[in-house]
Amino acid sequence: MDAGAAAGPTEAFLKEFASQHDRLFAYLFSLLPHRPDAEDVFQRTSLVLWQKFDQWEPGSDFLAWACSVAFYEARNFIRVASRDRLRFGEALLESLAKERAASLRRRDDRVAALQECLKKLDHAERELLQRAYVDQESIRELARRDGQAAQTLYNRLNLIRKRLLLCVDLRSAARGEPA
Amino acid sequence: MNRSEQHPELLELAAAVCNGTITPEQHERLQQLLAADPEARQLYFDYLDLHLALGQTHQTAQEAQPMMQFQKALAAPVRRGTRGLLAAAAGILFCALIYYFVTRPTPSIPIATLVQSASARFYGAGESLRVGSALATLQEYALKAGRVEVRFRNGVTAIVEGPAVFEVRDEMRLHVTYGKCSVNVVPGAEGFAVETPLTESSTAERALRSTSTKRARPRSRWCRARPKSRPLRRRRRC
Repeated sequence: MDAGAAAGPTEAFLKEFASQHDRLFAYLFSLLPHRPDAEDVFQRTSLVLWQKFDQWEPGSDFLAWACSVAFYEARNFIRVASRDRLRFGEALLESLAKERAASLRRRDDRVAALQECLKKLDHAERELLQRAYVDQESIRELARRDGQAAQTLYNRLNLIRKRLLLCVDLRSAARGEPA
Repeated sequence: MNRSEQHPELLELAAAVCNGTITPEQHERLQQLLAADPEARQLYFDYLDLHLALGQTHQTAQEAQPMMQFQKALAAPVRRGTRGLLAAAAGILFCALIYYFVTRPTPSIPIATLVQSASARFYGAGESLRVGSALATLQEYALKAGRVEVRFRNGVTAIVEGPAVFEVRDEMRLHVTYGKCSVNVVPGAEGFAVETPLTESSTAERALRSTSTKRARPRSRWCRARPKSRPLRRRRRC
């Protein structure tokens, strides 16, 4: 029995859940392009994981198990969601789910590379990211306050992300990881 | 030619997803592109990852700025297995409420501060918190036991009772994954939201069945959401 299991089911669950939390949300966001939908399903999934935790075999892959639960939750959500929701078709959903689960493992390395890439941004770019991501100010509100068109800020943000993506790809390639 | 240059349209659509501005027509086109090409799907995943990670890692680049000291906890590198959680979770709860008086906060004041603690024991990221500490936004805190009072810079106060898992989303949103909380309602308050899972069926939550976020009306009293008592069957005993 590992330390987590020895600490009791609650702590064992929370330890596993905490360690995979970000990856699990990333998985769901890949399946549900409308972020509030992904957040809703993530919350439901969290509960189901807790309720079914006794079905998880200690020592086995928690993330794989959690993703399988999350997939069914996402699919159920899509089935009952209103037709006007943005949702992927069943075949694409299954492809995304399968490939996404496989790609989650290398996510941490790319996020680590991202931190290095952030240092290359200039002050104005960092400030925009700060306001958009950390302060979570709405782009439309930011644009209104700065007297700019919202699309101008969206374009700047998109450009920054594109540069960062390229930077992360280059760093990953330098380490011999697939882009 | 790098892969970003090979898939300019996909990047544009992925950006629309991240910005929350994607239209049904764009979504349809995104589906077509993703269905047709495994490389496009991988690029899409990586773009979404970058977007999600920016909210978690951007603080690292800002760390040197004194004004950002209160967000140091957010500067933690990749949250890889060490982030704490704790909370038993008999029921997920839910709180409602509200408040807010409109005085514009000054940027030097943390969005949320731990102002009181009663036998509080955190697990993981919260272990270093003391009374007076700033809570980082988008950082999940696991309160194993005890109670803490969190004061938002807009005047809202929330008492969270362990075991609980909660997160300050921003100045106007407290996200409670597990546990109980109550929010102080201040005269003149408006729009403060406590986000909780949808699957609970407390009285308050039933009213919120269509949305995960409660935006309560300004009220001048304490309110407390009552959890549904969820039986913890099938718990593993070791």
